[in-house]
Amino acid sequence: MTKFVRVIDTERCFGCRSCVAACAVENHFTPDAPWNVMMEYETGTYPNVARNFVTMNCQHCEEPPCKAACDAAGFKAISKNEFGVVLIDYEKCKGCKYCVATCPYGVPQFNDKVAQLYPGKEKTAYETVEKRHPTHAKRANVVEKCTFCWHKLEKAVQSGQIGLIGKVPEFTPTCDLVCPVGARIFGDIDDPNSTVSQYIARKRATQIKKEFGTKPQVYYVLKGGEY
Amino acid sequence: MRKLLIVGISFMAAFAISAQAAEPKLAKPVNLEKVGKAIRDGKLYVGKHYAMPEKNRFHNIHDTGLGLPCNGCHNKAGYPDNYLFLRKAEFPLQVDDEDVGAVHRAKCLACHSKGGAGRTFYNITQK
Repeated sequence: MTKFVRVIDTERCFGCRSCVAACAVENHFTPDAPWNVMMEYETGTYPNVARNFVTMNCQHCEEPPCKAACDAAGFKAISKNEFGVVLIDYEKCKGCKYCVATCPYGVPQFNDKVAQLYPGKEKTAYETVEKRHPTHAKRANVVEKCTFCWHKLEKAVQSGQIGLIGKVPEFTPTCDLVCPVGARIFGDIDDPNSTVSQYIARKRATQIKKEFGTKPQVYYVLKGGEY
Repeated sequence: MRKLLIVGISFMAAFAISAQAAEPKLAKPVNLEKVGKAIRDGKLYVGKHYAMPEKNRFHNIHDTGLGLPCNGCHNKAGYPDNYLFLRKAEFPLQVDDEDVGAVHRAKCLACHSKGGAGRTFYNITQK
């Protein structure tokens, strides 16, 4: 079996937002619909304060409530493939936002309009790319979200190179490639010898919002340890 | 004199009846499981349009059908500043002119987990 997971080490992350920028470039970001964001907040009481940075994208849950809601509404636009990647079919999405309502992490991004990067000016070459992967098709009134860069992972699957996923740049989500401090690792958790499996075990990474029972496939090393 | 007395008593009786009618009626408790099942079985019409704004199915079910008060979901209780929620700052919702922010998803857990009154969206069993 192969199940792709990500581990994010918040003890290393210092909020540079390279991952946010990389995702925006890789996935044809449109304004107001970011697939990866950095949440920043302060803890403690002066003078003992700390700044915490937590980056969040789709958790690709094993029990995705977004899929349950979409199936309940009858649209069945959200699927989870054999590798654990949760994807939205923009052809089927009706923009009802039930997935937005049910996601405990606030991940799904509703695009009420496909806004230009620079309103009033000519579209950039980046925005006029016509031949795109289906996950990069930008449409109004649909919901979109992080895909674990499925357009890259799919190439590895199709070429029989699943074992290289998370190990070579060509087959690794771009946000995980650019972290300057190695705070993001991607790989197969079903392989006990993989870097991601060993990192999760060694640093006792955990999932967030476990009370919802979603079983996310993104793990976090939290300051203060497991909760 | 007698006529004045009759008119006076009639006036007071009419006032008493209208005062009783003006008293607000206590809301009848709603059996969430029964109403939820009636909605899922199609016996209770809650609209066809799947959308979040009021007058659409989501609010028809929760507000009109189940009688949940607005501030049951739209309130500031339970959200500490460091609660990791992607869209927390993106929902400047207002209820009764008060900025209440995003709805805490934990409010949905009671009904939408296993064994709850609503459809199961969260893989947690209610005790």
